[in-house]
Amino acid sequence: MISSISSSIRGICYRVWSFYRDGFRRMRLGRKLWLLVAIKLFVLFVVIKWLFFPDVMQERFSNDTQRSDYILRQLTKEQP
Amino acid sequence: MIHPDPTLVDWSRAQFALTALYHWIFVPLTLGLTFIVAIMETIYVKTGDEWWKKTTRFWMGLLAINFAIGLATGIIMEFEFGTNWSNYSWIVGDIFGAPLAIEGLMAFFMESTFFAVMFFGWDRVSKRFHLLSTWLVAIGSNLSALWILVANGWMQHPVGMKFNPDTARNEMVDFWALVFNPNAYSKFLHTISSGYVLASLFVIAVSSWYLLKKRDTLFALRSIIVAASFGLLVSLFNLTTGDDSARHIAQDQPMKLAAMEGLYDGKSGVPIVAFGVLNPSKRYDNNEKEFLFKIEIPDGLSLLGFHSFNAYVPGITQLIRGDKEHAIPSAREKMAKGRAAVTALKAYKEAKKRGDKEAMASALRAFRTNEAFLGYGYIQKEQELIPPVQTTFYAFHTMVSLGIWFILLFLLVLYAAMTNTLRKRRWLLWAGLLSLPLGYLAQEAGWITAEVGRQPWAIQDMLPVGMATSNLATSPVMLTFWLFATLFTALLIAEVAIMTKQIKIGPEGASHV
Repeated sequence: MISSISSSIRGICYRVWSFYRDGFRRMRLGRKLWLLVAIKLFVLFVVIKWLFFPDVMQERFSNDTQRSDYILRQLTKEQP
Repeated sequence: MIHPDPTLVDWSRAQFALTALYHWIFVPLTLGLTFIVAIMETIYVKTGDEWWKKTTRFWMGLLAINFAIGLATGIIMEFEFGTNWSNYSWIVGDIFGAPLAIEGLMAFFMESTFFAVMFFGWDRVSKRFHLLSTWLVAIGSNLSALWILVANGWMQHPVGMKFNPDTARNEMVDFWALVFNPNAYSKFLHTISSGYVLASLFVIAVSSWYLLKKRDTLFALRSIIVAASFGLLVSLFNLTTGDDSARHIAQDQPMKLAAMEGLYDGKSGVPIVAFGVLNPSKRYDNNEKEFLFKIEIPDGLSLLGFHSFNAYVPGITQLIRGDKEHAIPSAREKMAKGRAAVTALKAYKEAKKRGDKEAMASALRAFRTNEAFLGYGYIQKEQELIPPVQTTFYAFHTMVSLGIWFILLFLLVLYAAMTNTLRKRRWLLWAGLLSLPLGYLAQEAGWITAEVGRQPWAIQDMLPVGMATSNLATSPVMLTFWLFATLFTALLIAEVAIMTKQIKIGPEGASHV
């Protein structure tokens, strides 16, 4: 019983794997599009995010109390 | 007193606008084309006609191109929230987090499963399961838009939250109030239906090009019939959602409505401007004429905003100076209440530091009394409360005029296609082809109306953009503005080039996408 369940799970996993594998293999224009997506994600997440877009609140303060305090000073118009 | 650097605020705004406007080139086509493809595939499954399968696969290929190029362009806005708009991000708290997290999870699961079945599953899964996947992609991508617009609707009309003066964050107290925010719903329905209109225009434009080139005629004619029928239905729906949206704007954002119509002097039974040229010298505090030229529809704005011919619509002057007869407070009154809220918040903070519980409770009561006007406490001059009237007015009228043209176009194209006279009417084919850029123009004009019209607010009445920005140097924001401008332009060129190549190959090459 257990072995038949595990073999059917293996069968399903193989079918899902081969579905994606064959899908990617058959692509023509899709390959270019995936390449474009990969380059874009690299540029966005590795170059742009890392170099230019730090999370200001995470970077400047070490805990939420400090962050709240900073924002409250801004909202109550005190110099930080 | 903190005065944010206006140059920094303007560059941060410009960068966000650039990102959103470019992102919005890709999204609406995906939203609409998924439904058109689903309709075409339904016809294929119902009729068993292989020809419809080929048609579906062609348009699905173009959808794939648009989806791949547009993918993750919106994520940049989240980068900007954390860097350029960190005050805003903190104050917004989990209000934004919850809908955006749901959107992210939904998009991931939908795209990794049903999108894959849609593109890889032809001849691998049953026809009905493939069709189900296509419909689920259409519904799922539109539901993703729902969560984004729930977040945006909250900024236009904040509900379902309570500001915590200890953490300086808004905390969600009623998730369903956020989800069923009427402003969010009207915006969602209006936005997605405008996406359907754009997708219909896209199919008509590409098909018109085939007919003008006298190639793939049957394919083009059948595609046009589906797109024009869908386009006509959704355009009419778009009219009703636009009407609903205007009604919510009239109630929640009267200044935006006044700017949309260039209305300075409010009254009962206000006409709507069908066409007009604003007088650039007009200000709320002078007696110049509002328009150099205009054509009006009597009582139209009262009807649009309040569903009553004789309803009173306040103008910019009344919204700034106040109107006791109609219980409209002046900007100065609101600014005074806003300052009282800021002072109470400060008193609360100081009492907390001293550990004086009684003073804390008293300050909190004072804060809650004036909390609804908190944002006005950061406004220096009353004219800061007026959005750019010219930009808002022309964007709104461009959107509406084009929306009306699209209804007429869908009617004409559908009639000509059904009577088999479309191929002879080359002017109509040219009109179909040239209306595609107008569709994109209408989309962008809609965004400008919604967002420029609500300035100076990042969160309506709660947080002006000046207070929402991070304390940064201006030069990195300028640098990344141009970086994004270059990146997005490159993506747009790639989209047009790949799309044009695929269209030139035509439906015969569709199975090789």
